[in-house]
Amino acid sequence: MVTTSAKTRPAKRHGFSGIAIASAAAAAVLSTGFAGAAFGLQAIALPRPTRGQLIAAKTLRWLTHQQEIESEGVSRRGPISTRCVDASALVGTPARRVRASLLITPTGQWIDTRPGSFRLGRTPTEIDGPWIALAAARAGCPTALERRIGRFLDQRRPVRAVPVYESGTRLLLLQFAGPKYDLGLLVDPVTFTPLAVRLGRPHGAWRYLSTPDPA
Amino acid sequence: MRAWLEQRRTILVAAIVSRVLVLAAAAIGHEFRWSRRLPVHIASTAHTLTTLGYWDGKWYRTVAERGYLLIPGRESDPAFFPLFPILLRGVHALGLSYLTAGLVIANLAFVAGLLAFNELSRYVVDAETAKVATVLVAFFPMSFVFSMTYPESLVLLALALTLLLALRGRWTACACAGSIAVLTRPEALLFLIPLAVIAVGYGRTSTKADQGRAIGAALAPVASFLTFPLYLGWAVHDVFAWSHAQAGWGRAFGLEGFGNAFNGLFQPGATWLWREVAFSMVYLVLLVAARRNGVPRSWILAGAAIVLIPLASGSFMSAARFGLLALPAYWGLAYLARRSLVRRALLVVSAGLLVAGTITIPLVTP
Repeated sequence: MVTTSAKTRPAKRHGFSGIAIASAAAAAVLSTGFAGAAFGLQAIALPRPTRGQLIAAKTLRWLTHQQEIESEGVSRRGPISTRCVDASALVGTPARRVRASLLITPTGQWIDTRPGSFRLGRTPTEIDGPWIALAAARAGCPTALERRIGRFLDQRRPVRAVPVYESGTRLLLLQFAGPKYDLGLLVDPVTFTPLAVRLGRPHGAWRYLSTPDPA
Repeated sequence: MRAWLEQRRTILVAAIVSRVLVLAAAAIGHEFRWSRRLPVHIASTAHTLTTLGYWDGKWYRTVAERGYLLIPGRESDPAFFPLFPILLRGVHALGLSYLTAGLVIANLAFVAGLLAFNELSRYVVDAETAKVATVLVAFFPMSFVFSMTYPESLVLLALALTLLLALRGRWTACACAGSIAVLTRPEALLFLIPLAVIAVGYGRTSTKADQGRAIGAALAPVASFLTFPLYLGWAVHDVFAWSHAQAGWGRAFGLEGFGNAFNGLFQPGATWLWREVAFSMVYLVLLVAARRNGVPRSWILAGAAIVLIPLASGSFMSAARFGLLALPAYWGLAYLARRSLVRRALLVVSAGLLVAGTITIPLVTP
């Protein structure tokens, strides 16, 4: 039943090269024209993300490749140093495996997951409130920080990206405005690696991040 | 015009009756709020037809409202093709909400899509089978998706027009419709197989310029398709944002994907995936029936690819929805329903399943 066309003219004999050139030219004009129109339509009709959002997405990509991050800073009680390792944990009833951050501090070990936070001891104890989640993000735990930045980007919250100088080095300050907590990140302007994190007050103390040296 | 409408009265009645069933089922489900489950991403439940904006409808609205942004390690929107969100944005600019705009576009495109599919079918199968196939599309159990804020109905329309215009030798219009189809959903690209066969066949019997236009029309959708990664490269600085976003959704194409798809059926909470398996099997059986009814191999190949290729991504998730665009399956269904009694029974069962499918939208992940 399939017919190719109502107008079927007898085939003419052409040189192969002539046919090929004419066909290629007509095909190129048609496909280039439509491709140009298609690209133009997308470029004109859809809004683009801001520079800050794009940089934040690149920082997030770097974080997704990290397993372990160390942080150092100064709190009200003095210098603080933490280590954070990506892990997985069985949570809930029935138990399901979720991504987790194992936060190791001088005062104890903690597990932070999306459904809840736990203090590690002989038996894990569930901790109410957002404190461990905040501590994990502040310590630069990849999973916790990823979740927080990801949520900001998901909601397309505004991200300010401004150049700053820290100890004479040019860095980028990414500032996310959240409904409860603001998040600030100092990132390398070339690799977009996060170098310091600040959660809460806009002018609070920085926690400086580093990845452990390979053994 | 009146005579034209009169000739297509059965199709229009089927389109309207089936949509009334879907819209009424969605409204009644909402009115009685029998399911308290809300999808994570739904913004509001105030709209009477809010159920038809569930599933990925939220993502299309996000793209329309805010554009694309690839968020590494998470589910993000570059996984969704751009034309439907562009249309949503355009209709929203006229004063309609994104949900209403999506419903208007989807349902109007579906009615037009049925008419175009009927015309296309008449080139491939006999007129009676074409009419039955079109009516069966309208009442197909998964066809409630054509009324959701999804691009499926737009692709149905664009694909049917692409192939119809190619068969009529109207190559520039065919290139336009083909470009629309591939910018709406990537599966549309698979119908370039029959399109290429038609173009090559046409080339043998026409002038040089016409040959070029036929080949150009087959290539134009490929070129238009490639503009999406180029656009993503420009807008979100990642030419591969589509495949990276697919990975965020847990889909990665590879041969091991088929094995993973079957393994996933036995995971906890995978009950609804069996519906997807059942539909995938039905589509394949219908394609075999279509082949037995004389539908050319290139069309069957495109239909089978639409059903099978998504499984290579590692999941049966959404297989029933993807298969809706396996157009030759409907010719197979019409072939199986050639006896009047079978046809009537099939229509009654399909309509019942269509209503059930619409009412259970809140219970299922797409």
